[in-house]
Amino acid sequence: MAWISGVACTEFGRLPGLDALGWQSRAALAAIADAGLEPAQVDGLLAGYATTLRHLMPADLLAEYLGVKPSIAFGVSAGGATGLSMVATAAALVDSGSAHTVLVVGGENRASGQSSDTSIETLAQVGHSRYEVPLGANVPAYYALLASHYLHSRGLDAADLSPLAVQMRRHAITTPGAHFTTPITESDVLSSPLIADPLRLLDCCPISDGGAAFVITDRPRGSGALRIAGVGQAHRHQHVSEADLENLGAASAAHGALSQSGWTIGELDTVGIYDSFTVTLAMLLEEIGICERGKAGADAAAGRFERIGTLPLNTHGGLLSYGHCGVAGGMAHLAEVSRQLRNSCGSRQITRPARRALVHADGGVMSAHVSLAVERP
Amino acid sequence: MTDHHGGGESADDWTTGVAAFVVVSCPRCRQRWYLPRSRCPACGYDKPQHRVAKPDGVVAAATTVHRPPAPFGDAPYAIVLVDLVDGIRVMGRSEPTIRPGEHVTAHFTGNPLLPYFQLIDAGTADAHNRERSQTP
Repeated sequence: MAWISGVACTEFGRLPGLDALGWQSRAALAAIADAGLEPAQVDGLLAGYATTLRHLMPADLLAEYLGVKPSIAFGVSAGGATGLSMVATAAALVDSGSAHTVLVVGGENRASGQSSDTSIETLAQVGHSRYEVPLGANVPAYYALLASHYLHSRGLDAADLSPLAVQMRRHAITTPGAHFTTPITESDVLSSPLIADPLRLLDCCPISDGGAAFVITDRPRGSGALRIAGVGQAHRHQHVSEADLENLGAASAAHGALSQSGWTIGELDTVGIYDSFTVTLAMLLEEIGICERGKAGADAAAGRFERIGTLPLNTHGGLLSYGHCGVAGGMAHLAEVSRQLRNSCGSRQITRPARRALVHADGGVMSAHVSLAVERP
Repeated sequence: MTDHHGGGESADDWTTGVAAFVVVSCPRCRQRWYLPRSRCPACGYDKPQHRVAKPDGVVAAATTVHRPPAPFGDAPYAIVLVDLVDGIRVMGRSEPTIRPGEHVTAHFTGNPLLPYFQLIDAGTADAHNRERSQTP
């Protein structure tokens, strides 16, 4: 059995002054302290890549920086799914007895450390170097193609996605550390500049600086340990032209995690679902089965995902408004869900009792999928 | 362009300056694919067959890029995913007004050579529908 004993997520934003290693160590030390542990007790270290730190050995680099000497250490790359992939791997390491106290870290100065053009060009490489990138395709374009198919197949239009952006912003407004906190309306989303039709600026997550970390242990540590009740993964394609757009792998991963935990979707108190774009969130909610086909935006507009709603979603504001600093962006949903399960969100606490949660992340062009079921015992 | 038979990881196509899409197929299990591999992704057979694909198909998804990646200065331009009648899904450029569900055909243009899709007429679209339903 694996436990999330330490949780940390920094503020996200345009915050010059720390490099990738600086963000990673800030988050790492905070998570270790949150678990009531000392750095010397860490015997496993998994570190996500950082595009501003093109280092072949990010885990050994961070271990040296922190002064820890783990028996297991390696870097991990699965796009936006890297964070949850590392938590899933850490859980397997402690379950197998290979390690007892595994530090999982992501952090990057993606906003301050390079131009947004450079970030976008780097990330475009998730597309095919011969058959996609030379067409001038980039990540927003790949997701715009997904959005085009999504809207067409369900008889919807772009306005049907905008309630998701509005809900994420509404959550971020009252979340300390969020990158974007100015209220927006559906009209604001639909009049924001076109990036790749039908996706507009407010359909897209920002580029931020920040970091996040967890300490995964073989027994509960600290005062807020949460149990990892289930893990599921699926990897069915890399490139968008090879994706089965109605069965990307999200359902397989989520149902795997839920079946291990023994829960149904109806028994979840809160969820954290990857939201790089409004369409990402919509497609994941629908494929996983949290929303009926075509209804993700309508559910958001009806208030289902509010803190006072029946299934609070991304209560920190998600990637869309809390921000996206790379690997740690895909860890912030789990950090927020952990805070909710610990009943530690104060005025932001969801109104229903929080015991069970599902988090899901994807990487690439909805290529890599990892789900975790997490429980406060 | 002559057909290619087996061997090597990929045949010449628009990515190497030859004005064509190439469909790769497995003679053992009939799987078809587009992105190059030396072995069939379904059954592992190592002598895939390459042939030129008909450039006609149906649009699966379409977008117009307004904020391009830095080296591409000619925005706005449209990118589409098209299901070709020969059973593969390909990405290309297109006219910005093209929408999912429309019937299109590609020509190859520019330097570097890129595939460019445009609408075809309704009669040709009906012929495509019959052809796609017969594709083995």
